[in-house]
Order: sequence, then C-alpha cells, then structure tokens
Amino acid sequence: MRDQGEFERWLAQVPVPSLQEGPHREQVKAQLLHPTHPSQGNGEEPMRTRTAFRTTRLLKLAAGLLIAAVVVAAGWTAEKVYESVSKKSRVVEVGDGYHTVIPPDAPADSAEKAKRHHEEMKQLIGQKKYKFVNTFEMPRGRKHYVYQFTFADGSKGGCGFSIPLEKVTSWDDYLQKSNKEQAQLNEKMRKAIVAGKFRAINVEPLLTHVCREVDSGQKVRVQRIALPDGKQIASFRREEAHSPEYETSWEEHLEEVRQGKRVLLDEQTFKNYTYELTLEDGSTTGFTCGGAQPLEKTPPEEIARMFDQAAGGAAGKDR
Amino acid sequence: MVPGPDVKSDVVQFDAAARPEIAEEAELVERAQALPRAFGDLYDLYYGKILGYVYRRTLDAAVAEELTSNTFFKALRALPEYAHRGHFGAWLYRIATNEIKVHRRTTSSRRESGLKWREELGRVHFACPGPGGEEDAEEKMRTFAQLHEALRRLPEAYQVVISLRYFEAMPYAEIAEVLGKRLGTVKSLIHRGLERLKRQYRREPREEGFSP
Repeated sequence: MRDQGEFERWLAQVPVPSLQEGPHREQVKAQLLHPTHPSQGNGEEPMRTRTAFRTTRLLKLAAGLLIAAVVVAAGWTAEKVYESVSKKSRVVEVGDGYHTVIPPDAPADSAEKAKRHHEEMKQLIGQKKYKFVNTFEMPRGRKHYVYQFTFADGSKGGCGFSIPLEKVTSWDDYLQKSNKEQAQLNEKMRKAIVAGKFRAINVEPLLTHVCREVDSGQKVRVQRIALPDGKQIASFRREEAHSPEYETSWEEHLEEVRQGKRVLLDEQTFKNYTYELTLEDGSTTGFTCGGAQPLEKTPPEEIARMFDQAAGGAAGKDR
Repeated sequence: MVPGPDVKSDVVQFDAAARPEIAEEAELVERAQALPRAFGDLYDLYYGKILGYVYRRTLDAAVAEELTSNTFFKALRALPEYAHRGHFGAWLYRIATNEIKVHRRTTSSRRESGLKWREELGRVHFACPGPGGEEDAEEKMRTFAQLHEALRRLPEAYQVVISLRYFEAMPYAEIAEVLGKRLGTVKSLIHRGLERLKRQYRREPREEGFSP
C-alpha cells in the first residue's frame, strides 16, 4: 500500500462480518418490555392507598416482567401489542401471587406452560441453576437482577429479581429477603414523608367503571388506561379478584355496555399522585398514592395507616 | 445506515422534512417516552445494527450480546430524559460505544483479543458471500480479525471513529453526532487514525498466504 489513500480505499472495501441474531434478541426484548414483576413487592411504588394500589398494579402488570411472560410474549412486537388492544388479553396467575399477560394469539397451552415454568423456576433457584444476564437499573436508583433459566422442555426464560439470586438459598429464602428489604425501604420512605422530604412530580386522573356482567351477574371494575397514540384499554377485574383478569379496548367495553351485555352501575375517578422522596441517606425514590387529596394534605395518622396496610399486604399473598 | 445530511460546515443539522424516516423515528421516540412498552419498535429498528457494531468492535458474540442488551436497557432507562434532536440511532451508538469502553476497562484485553471468532464462525455472515462458501467466509473473517487486532492497538478515540466510518459506513456528520464532537474534529481524528492504523497494520503478524 503506497499511500494513505490506497489504504483507505482498501479499508472501505474490506468485507465486514455481521452476527446472526439468535434467541437473545427476543429474550432481551421481553425483558425490556416486561422489566419487573408486579407482585415481587419491590416495584417502584410499593405503597399506596387501596385503589391506587390496584391501579398501579394494573399499569405495572401491563409492562411487568414475569417469568412466563418471556415465553408467552416471545415473538411479540410492539405492533402486536397494539393490535391486541382490540382483542382480549388474559391475565393469569402463574403461582405465588405472580401474574402474566397472555396475548390473544398465544398458543392455547400458554397459561399452563407459564405455570409449569414458574414452578420449575422456584426449583432451579434452589438448585442454583440459572445464568446471570444483566443488572437492570430501575428509575430512581433501584436495581433488578435479571437471570435466565433453562426449563425442562428446553425453552429459556428470564426474570428480574430485586436481590441477586447468589445471595439466596431457595425461592422461600428469596421471598423472605426480598420482603425484608422492601419493609426496610418502606420504613425509610415513611420517615421521609413524615419529615416532609418529598415533592410532587406528577398527578393524573384515573377512571373506573363499576359494572355488572349480564350473563354471569358478576360485578366487575373496568379501569381505563390511555395509550399515547390515542387508543384506550379497558382492564377488567372482578370485584373479589386481586388483580386484572383481561383487557379489551375501551371502545369495545363501551360498545358492550351499549349492547346491554354489561350494565354500568357507577364510576369512580381518582387522582393518582406521584412524588419523589428523599431518603435519609440522600437517595431518592418514587412514591405513588391515589385518593382524594395530595400527600401534603394527608394527616400523619392516615400516612401511618397506609404504610401499615402496605406492610400487611407485603406479608400476604397479594404482594 | 441511512445517508447523512450534506454538511458544509461544522453545524450538523438533520432536516426531518427531507428525511421522512427521521420524522417517523421522532414519532416512535415520542411514543416510547410516553409508554415504555412501545420501546419495542425502536428496539426492533436498531437491535441488529447495534449488535453488529458491537460485534465488529469486540469479535466476541457473547460480549456483543451482553453489551447490546446493556445498551438498550440503559437507553430505556434514560429515555424519559432523552431529547430527540434528529437521530435516535446516534444516541444508541453513543451508549454502545461507552459500553464497549467500560467493558474494555474492566476486562483484560487478552480475553477479548483472542481467536474466539473462529469458534463462532458459524454465526457470522458477510453481506456479499463469495463463491468459496465457508472457506471464503473464514478468509474474510481472518482478514477482518487481523485488521481488528491492529485497530485495537490504537487509542480508543481512533478505534471508534474508524469503526464507525469504515465498518458501519457512517457519514462524518453522524459520527460527529454519535461522539458529540465537531465535524472538523471527527475528520481530523479519522485522518490521524488512518495513518496510525496503516502503520500498525503493517506491523501485525500475518498468517501464511494472507495479503491485503
């Protein structure tokens, strides 16, 4: 090569390799789109009033990572997510209070498979058979540790955990430590609120239709969730259920009310307030509470009651 | 890589009206900022490009996948603060470039500069496969690996600009956007980097039969 020009021309023509994409693509996508487990008790907003708790659970559920969701949602594209708005997406419990969203076009055995994988995952944690994938930093400084599991049927799935699995000996040990960590965080948050170390960063209205299904006679709560492209989701939860059970579009819900399939009994509108708390160590964290009044106007005894309620919830099945 | 704007000064501007894909991308970014799960569209758009870029910088499939996922996780986390000014891809390349830099700081260079590409040859492909099939691919890969080895001996700044320019076929203006540097600085870095790479490449040991 006589001069730099010649070298540059040669360099520009050197064939460059590309890497064939593998399962990694869909695995990471599933983790990105479902970054956390809604019922791990380590989400962004561990405390809220009852209504807001349900609502935010719903929002988190829609975006949360579940072990089975990786399997079920593999192959999802964002377009499909939007398409699914016009169909019913089922929300099923896979076990231990964990839930997953089953898209309408998923195979018929997806729910069973998700449950089986959840049980297997618990065993694999005890057997230390997992592969660390990544550390996912949640907004406001919290971390999730993402691990991959290989199931008996050969498929792989990932799940985010609030503490490294290397530090736990079993699934039960994980739950115990995770809940303990959450309780400690709650206590820090309670102290921050009592000390007035918070500032509002968002407030949004939340609409719920209280309805009765004509066929079954069951009472359902239908939460409206607005998407940025103008579409709206209706998320259904039976009165006695702990979490949403399926979704349709909001228009479809209204149409069924018009057709007399569902009777509109009442509506409830709440404001959902989001705050940034400054903890005693100087770190910040998010706190969401819903209700009639903002945190600034909430009496201390009500704040204490909210934390007691959340602590009770964290200890129970409905984490 | 989409062609960059015609830049005649150091001021880099992308005209959304002239480049419809930018307007479309802006919409995707806006949507993802409002609803994180809509990030999937941007992920689909850029996963292959970022994976390819990181692989060409590291020649290690596992590392490339790890750093690619890190890139997208970090992008998603920082998305609320991201101000879209023209090219989302440039921002992703910047994050990926930082990931590579951090990875190299924390990993011994020996680990990365090995011959791992030989084991992963089955996963590698070239845009224009030659008539020689697998043998041809191996030959091309060997050429690239030797070039890669020479490049790795240069300072990081040169590695980045040369990789972006010659392996990613990125226009100068876009490289400037990725690095947050002025256009003149980028051209100068490429010029000096080429000179050093040429010298380094001549010093690299060759396998028998190989000639650039």
